[in-house]
Amino acid sequence: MFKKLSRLYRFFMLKRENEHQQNDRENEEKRENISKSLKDIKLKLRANFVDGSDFVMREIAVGERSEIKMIIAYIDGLANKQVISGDILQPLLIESKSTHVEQWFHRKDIIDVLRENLLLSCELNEVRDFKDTIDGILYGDTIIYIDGQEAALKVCSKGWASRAIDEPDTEMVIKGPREGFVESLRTNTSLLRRKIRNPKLKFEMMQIGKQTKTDVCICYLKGIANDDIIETVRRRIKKMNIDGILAVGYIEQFIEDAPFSLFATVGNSEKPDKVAAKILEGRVAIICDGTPIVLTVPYLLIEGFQSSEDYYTRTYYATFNRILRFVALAIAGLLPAFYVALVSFHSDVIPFELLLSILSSREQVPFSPFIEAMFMGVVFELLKEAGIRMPKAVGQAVNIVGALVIGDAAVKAGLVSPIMLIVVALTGISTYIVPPFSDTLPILRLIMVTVANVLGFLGIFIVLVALYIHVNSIRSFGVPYMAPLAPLTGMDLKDTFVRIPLWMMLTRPRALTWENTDHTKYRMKKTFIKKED
Amino acid sequence: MVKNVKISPLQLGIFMIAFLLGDAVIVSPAKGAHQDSWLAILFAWIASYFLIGAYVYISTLYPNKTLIEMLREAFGKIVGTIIGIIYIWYFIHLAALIYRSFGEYMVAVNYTETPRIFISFVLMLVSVYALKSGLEVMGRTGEISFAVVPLTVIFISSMLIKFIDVKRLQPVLEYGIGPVLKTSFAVLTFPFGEAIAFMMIFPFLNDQRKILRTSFISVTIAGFLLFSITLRNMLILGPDMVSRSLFPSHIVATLLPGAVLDPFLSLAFLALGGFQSLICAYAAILGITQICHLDDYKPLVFPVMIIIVSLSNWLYKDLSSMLRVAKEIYPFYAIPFQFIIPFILLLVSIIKKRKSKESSLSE
Repeated sequence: MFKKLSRLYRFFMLKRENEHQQNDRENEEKRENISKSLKDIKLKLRANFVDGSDFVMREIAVGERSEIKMIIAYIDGLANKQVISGDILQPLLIESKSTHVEQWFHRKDIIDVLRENLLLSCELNEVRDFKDTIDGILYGDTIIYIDGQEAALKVCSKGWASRAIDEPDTEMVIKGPREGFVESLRTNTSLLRRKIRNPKLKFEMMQIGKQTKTDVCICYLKGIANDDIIETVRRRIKKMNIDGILAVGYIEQFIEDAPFSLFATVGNSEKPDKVAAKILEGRVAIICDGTPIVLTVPYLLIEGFQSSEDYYTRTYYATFNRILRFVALAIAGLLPAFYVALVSFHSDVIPFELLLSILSSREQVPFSPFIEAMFMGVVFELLKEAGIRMPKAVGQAVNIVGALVIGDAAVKAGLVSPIMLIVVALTGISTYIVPPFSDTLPILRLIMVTVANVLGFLGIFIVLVALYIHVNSIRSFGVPYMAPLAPLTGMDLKDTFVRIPLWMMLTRPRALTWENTDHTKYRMKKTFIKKED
Repeated sequence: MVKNVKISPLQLGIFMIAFLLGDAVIVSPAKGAHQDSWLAILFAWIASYFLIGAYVYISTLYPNKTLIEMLREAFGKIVGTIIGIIYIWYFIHLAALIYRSFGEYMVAVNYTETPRIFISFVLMLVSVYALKSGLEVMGRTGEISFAVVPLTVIFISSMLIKFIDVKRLQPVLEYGIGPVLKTSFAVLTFPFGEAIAFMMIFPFLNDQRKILRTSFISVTIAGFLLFSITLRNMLILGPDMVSRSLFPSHIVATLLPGAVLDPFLSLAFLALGGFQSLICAYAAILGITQICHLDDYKPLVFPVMIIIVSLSNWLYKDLSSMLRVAKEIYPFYAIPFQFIIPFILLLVSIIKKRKSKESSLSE
């Protein structure tokens, strides 16, 4: 059914794409020259930025006798005013008078003089298309239009207020770097570049979103990342047809392989160290301006169990944590269903004493275990959602009410049994041990509880098998989703159920770089030989 | 399009192990030999190397061809198609048998009040999903999950060591060698001879040279597991109990001290049976696709699975008639499919090969 739906969806996508492409082509072909007269430019700029109160246009005259007229245009708030006044206005208005600029004008073109001798800004470009200048203004650059010239100067003066780098709330670590990505793309790329000092680390920029023209950056290590994967990412991002990209989640939904799957096929992280590690393994990162989250593809199921801290702690503890996460996933997905199946179908499996206590605790509860499980599941989700959305000031109150509702009062009122309470509490805690699955698990739990109520263990088993077939059938950017496990790659198991010591991890994941194995060099050198002096 | 699919030797091996264990684990096929059933299994296991070796040999004579294509090439278009249709019937029948035995098992053991057809139907839905996902996905699905089966066997066997009594095997050959050989023939037809369905799967192996190795390794593992399960059941229950119980493996599992695990074991068995029926259904569907010269097998999946499930419901009156048929009639029913036709096919293809060699030499 999903296939049919997706086929239908693809059909409409293609249809829309064709229509839009024609429009785009018409738009793109118009290229405007910059007119020689400043008056024209002024009118055009006014027309473009009519009602734009943040647009600033300043007219100046340069030269000893003020013979060269110029217009400086920028957007207030995007451009750094210190750069404009110190690097542009001061040299143009003051220093030009004292240094006898007009002597140079005889020798050279005025634009060259400005560029080579006067302006202090470190990034300067000559622009010949009027549209480019408008774009530049919108990106926070300052444009200098000069009277009588067919070109303008674009001075890089981007400087808007942005958040400082701080520790992300979603991925806490104890041992490990605390910095997290911020909203500004440039800062994010610098964070990555600081981790990987290698000219092969490429940042490919593109602008997506027909109205917003958001900067999107594809980042990978050339020579390590698989070229096919890079090409797929590039193609899928370019094919995006949308008015605006406000967060990286927009991109995720456009490029993912299995949009109707319960499982995510695109990974995300807020931490530069994690993303850098993924890039080093041969993955491709997608950074979007305006979001402190970076996507990484291909994303495999096993990554949900890997945490950056696994690699910063010692082997035994990391392995223990890995296995703990697998157990947590099983508990979070299956425990309520398991309980329902046990109580309503397979009570012979429960040890006799426990069965007695379960039955006695369920004596006052009028509902079936299924209703109980559904009720508690919904209450838990409600409290969770409220906990995320509510203002911090009322948090305390909701917490107390929630604890009372889920806790004592519900049991005393005879709505749920104490055992169910334990089940729900365990489930809730376990969900947050495997955060990458936290949006999959609530839905999965509902399905599981329902089938457990219909068919007991057989139902759970059937759904599990179907899910297993499903995760085996999807791919993420060409890599099988269950990669090191399901097309079993012996060496890649080093980083799945166990995390072997880092010095023993000699190869990169084969699943990601399978074509590149020839020029895969060791990620870390063998250091078996001890050298302690 | 169908032929682009490739599976690895590991995946094929897991298919074969799951296929050979399949419902043989729950329906003990060697009951007829009383306390010598382990001997019967042993003989059948040894003989199966020759039988499956012969199947593999035929497959290597026709590289990259499925059974249906082989038959057509060897017997000509009309006769080959007719025999091919008979084989498709056999595969469908086989899948229905498996569905029936697992339905009966689940109803008898865990779900006493659920209608059998409902359980079969639910199983069918998953099978349809698996078949529609394709052979590659089925192979990948099997890869990790089948570590469970040998582990379960070892776990149960080691938990039950204290119940073992070697005297239950004595006297050896109480009724002479006759019944043992008769039973071992039955075991050879069910489960080992059923591997003829793999002649539809062999061409999908990515490394064609490894067919023989893979199948012999998997026959070894599956034979050993089957042998050890039968031996364990006999050592724990004794000949009397085994011949009277419907599902000896289940009875053994209920003996586990301290915990009741049989719902989980049933599910593990069910996974095996599921794979066996998947292979049979895949063989049948692929056969139909090739006989009708279709590009894609996916539209056939649902109808064929519906036929299989309905057929499984019509096959027998009840559980005891199912067990009787499996023991007394099935071995003879299987002879033409597992021995006669492959033997003729082997002869014909060898003769044809010689002829073509001679003709090429004379030229």
